[in-house]
Amino acid sequence: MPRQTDQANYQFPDGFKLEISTNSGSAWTDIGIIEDGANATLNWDVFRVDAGNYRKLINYARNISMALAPSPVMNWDATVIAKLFPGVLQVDTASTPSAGKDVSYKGTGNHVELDACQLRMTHFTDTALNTIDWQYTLYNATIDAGATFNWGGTMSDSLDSITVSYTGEPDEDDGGALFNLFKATT
Amino acid sequence: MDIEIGNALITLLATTEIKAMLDTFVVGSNTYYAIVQGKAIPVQFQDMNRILQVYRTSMLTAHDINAPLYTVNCRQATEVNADTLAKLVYNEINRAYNTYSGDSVYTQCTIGESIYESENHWNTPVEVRIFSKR
Repeated sequence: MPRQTDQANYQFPDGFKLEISTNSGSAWTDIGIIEDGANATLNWDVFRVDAGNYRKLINYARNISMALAPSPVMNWDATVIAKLFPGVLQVDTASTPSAGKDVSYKGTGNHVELDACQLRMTHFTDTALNTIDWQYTLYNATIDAGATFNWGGTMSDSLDSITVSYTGEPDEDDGGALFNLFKATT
Repeated sequence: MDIEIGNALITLLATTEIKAMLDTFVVGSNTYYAIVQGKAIPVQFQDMNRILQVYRTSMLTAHDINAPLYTVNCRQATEVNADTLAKLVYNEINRAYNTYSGDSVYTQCTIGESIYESENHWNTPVEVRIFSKR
């Protein structure tokens, strides 16, 4: 039997460049190598409004959000780590135990304001990283609770990593922007 | 499903750098490089020890998408040269996007350990997974 459809705009799993911006997309920080891929989940609550004589029950989605869960980050650059946790962590120059950087909690008490950020995943098809075939951007996101730092022992099969996830909500100051998925014409 | 998608590797690996590491033979006025597709080494190549050999090592299934495995045997007279040739192959087609007969082809490589086959005959195999729409 022949293939039932020839509609096959495949997307090969080849990883992507993951970036974060804390100034509404003006500047981006390359998060670096991550273990594998990422998952993004679109969520909402459904409620129905009885429109009376106007029309039938109207189905609405509210509390729309999009959660982005990259696979663990394996780039332990101190500046990048602080960037991964907008509003929660900070980075400073350190001199002890040796020259380096300190990553620490930014707050002064048991609460801290989460800063909004944008996340972007870009895939390139050339080694010069000039040609983009797809790009995903999540707007108005904050980091989720439950981020973990993972340190392996000598029996570990993988590298030390940091697990983070983010949730974006429609940005009312930007026309409700939530996410964008760009696909190049092929 | 293109059972001959391995032809893409023959085309992609016929680079100047790779051919410079291969033996040649002449037929008439034509010079041919020792690039072989298939599991049997042809008679013309059997006295050579610098050969690039390509053949399929996985099944092709009924799935809409097949990502077959091919082996590229990098044969040289010494272990070091076999590894060098394997590295050239790897650098050329690992995580590389190319076009073959108008379709996008994406390849991933794994370099195996070098194998002593006989005196002055070493082989470093490179396993290649080919993703394509064909």
